Amino acid sequence: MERSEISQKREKELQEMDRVAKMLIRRDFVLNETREKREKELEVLQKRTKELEELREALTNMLEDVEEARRKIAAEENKTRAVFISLTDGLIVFDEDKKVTLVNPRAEEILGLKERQLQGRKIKENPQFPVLSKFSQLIDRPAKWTGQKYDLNLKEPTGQFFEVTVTSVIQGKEIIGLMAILHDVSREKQIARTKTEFISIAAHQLRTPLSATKWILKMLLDGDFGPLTSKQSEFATKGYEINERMIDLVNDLLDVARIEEGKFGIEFTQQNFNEFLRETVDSFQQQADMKKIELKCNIPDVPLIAQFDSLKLQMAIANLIKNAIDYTPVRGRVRITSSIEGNAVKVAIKDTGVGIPQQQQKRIFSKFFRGDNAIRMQTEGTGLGLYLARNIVESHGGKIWFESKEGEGTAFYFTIPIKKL
Amino acid sequence: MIKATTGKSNNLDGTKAGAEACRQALAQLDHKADLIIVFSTVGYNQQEMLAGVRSISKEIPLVGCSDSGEITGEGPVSKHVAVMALSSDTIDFTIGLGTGADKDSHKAGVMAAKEIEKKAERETALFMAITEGLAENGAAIPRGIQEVFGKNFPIMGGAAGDDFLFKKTYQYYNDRVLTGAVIGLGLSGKFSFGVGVRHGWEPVGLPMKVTKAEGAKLIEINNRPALSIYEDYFGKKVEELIKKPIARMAYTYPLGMSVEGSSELLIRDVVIADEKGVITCAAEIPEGSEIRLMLGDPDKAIQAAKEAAENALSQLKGIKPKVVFVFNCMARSKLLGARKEEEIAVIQEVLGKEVPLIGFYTYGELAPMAGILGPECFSVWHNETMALMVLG
Amino acid sequence: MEKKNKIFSGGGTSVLIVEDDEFLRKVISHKLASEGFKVFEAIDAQIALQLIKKERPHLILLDLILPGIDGFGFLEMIKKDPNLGDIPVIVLSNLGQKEDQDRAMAAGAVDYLIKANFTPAEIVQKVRDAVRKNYL
Repeated sequence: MERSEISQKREKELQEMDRVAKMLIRRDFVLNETREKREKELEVLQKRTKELEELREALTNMLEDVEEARRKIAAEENKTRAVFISLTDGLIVFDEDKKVTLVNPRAEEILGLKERQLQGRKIKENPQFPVLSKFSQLIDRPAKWTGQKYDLNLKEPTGQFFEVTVTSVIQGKEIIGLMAILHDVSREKQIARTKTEFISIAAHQLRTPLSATKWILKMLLDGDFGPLTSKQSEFATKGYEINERMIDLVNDLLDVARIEEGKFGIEFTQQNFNEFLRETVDSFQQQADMKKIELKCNIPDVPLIAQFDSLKLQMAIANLIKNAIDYTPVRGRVRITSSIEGNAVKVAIKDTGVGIPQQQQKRIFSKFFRGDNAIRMQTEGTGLGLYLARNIVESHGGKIWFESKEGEGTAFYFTIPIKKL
Repeated sequence: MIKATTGKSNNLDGTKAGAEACRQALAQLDHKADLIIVFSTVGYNQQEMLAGVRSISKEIPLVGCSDSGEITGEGPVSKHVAVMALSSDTIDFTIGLGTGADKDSHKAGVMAAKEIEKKAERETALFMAITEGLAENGAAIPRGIQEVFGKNFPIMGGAAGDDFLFKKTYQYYNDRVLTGAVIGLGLSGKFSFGVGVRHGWEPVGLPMKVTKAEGAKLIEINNRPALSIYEDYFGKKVEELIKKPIARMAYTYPLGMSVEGSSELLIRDVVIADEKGVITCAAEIPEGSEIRLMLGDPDKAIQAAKEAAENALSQLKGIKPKVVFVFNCMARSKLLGARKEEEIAVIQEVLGKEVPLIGFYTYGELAPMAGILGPECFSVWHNETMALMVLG
Repeated sequence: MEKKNKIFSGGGTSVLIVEDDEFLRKVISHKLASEGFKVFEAIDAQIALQLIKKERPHLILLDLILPGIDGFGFLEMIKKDPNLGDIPVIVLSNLGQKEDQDRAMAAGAVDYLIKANFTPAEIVQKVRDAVRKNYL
């Protein structure tokens, strides 16, 4: 009886243990599932961490590369900046809206302002900064604001002269701004001025003795100091002529110098060209008569109104006629004709003179050139006449040329456009 | 002389992965390789992967299978290809093939064994088997081999896995990818070996009796439908247990049956269940057997692995281990989770960290019961077990 | 009428020549005198001014390069003076630059002659033309 009781109790206990075991297993199962889930999450996290690590490394590499590139750019920039700063010309950079973006130290010096004072602003007049005002006047032009060269005269405040060049700043195919380069030409200007002064003084100094000689000899020849013997007259005349040549040379030299300076300007006035031409020709009548040269005019009687500089053109024509007479032997012929060709008047001066040697024809218009045969003729000439003549004709917008055969004669032609007001 | 080297790869391209792993292994081997062993995830196209390996190993005899994880001397990994190259002037490696393990496991075992017996030049001392993981009756395979080589013949091996999908496993024989195969590797010649077989699971709850069974199919336990056991224990409905392959839920809660000659219960994994409440196990549980539900404990599992290694080492009788083979049940990887590295580490601590090691997570292990060799040796089918083999 | 005759014959017409070069001054004075003009000579602006105030010449022949105040300065000075401003001034200089000519004409000169380009006779003619133009 006891045994069965014990075994029954035992049985119950075992059942109870089994129930507990089942409960524990259930719990263990749940725990395991949770653990498994957690471990999966952990795996994902680890994977992600690894990916992040790799990403971080890649980014670090990229950053290093970027840093490297940046350093290179900075170095380049520094180089460019160094150039920009060291440039001896002033440099101002503008954006598309004409607002200042960069001003280099030299420009700061010239304008008397610092970069930061100008940045982001347009250049305007400012009474406090006279240089800036002058500069702004210069660039505030309606004309196409690029590719131009302007002269900035700062003689007033600082005694300097600048040549301002404005060009576009191009990136690829776009215009992203403009830049103005201020080049100091004070020295050049100074040199030019000195040259002008020198020439002026030289001319004056040369002319003074020349005019004294001219007057004395002329008065002598005019008999102001009493009659002269024919021999005395002959030599005095020679002296006078030589002196005249010197005066001509000085005058020509002055003109040439002015051409070189760019100051040999044409002053257009409206006149009757044909009348003017005839007058000029007539003035040589006496000279032609002396050599028994037939001076013939073929100029239409009709008035021809045109714009030209009569003073200068007279000089040019006089040179041509004088040459024609000088290089034509006694009893030769010089003919001057005028005709209309298109919208220009064409003048021809033909002579039956010694002509220009073939090999020397190329150099006819160059300074101081005289043909060998001309020299042999012992005629007077400065060698500058044709140089000046060409300059004058071309300054009128015309052309000058010639045809010549040695021993037969020369024909000079020139055109002057008929400018109408 | 026994030389072994390993290589592994998880290149996204299967062919490249196979080639890389094999190249790694062969590169380190100074001698000409006599055998190539391959364990791979089913994540790769098996043909491509094997072709990749063969492109490097060429005509060297090859055995292997798919798995639920790969193990090398660097620890356990998954989704890889692991390759071992073996070279020895003292061991002959003979390979043999048996097919149809999904229909008749016994016959497959016999086939493989017979081929080896025929081909081997010297007497075979040890049989290594790589088998189909979802066989008709895994337990019949060692019996088939024993039919040829004898009841007490030492058999070690593992059943192929498929990354816990329980759908299809693959076995590799030279350049062929097979299913339902038994790959045999006969080792003959002059060498020493030791084995270790332990699981560390413990029984919980009252013992139960298998009242009706058919081979690997458990029909009734304690006169109730077999599945009701798991219903009781997990509190889950039948539908759930069937749908989610019960294997997945139950692989850490297998059934254990007491057997003669072993202090530990012999574990049987539960693979599938059907609507009738019939549970199919990885191997047979004879009618009338006493079974208990088994509970795994991570610490105990690691301890078991250690003991297995120590057992193998002692069996070498002082000879230095030259190569280790690990047939590790996939359930253990699930149980240990993040600690599965510990398990391998502890084995290496015992056997030597530099000793070349290859293995995989199996759906079953073949090993002598309790790791006993000699005249008492009796090889059977295990689950949840750490079965390792050491050559020296 | 008498005045007119006087002018034409050159007997009554006076000319002041302001020229620092002694030789040129002498030559021009001689020529003018031989043509019937009364000639006053000054070598610088200061003396010229005194002479103008004292003698009131009909015309002034003015060089530009002078010691002390130059010709331009002198010209501007007398033109400002209402008493003296109406006396015609012919600039007689060897400075030939256009700027000089323009400046002189702007300052009130009636003519500008480059010494080297005109003979004494031509200069006398220019003087006669200027006097006729100014006083008739």
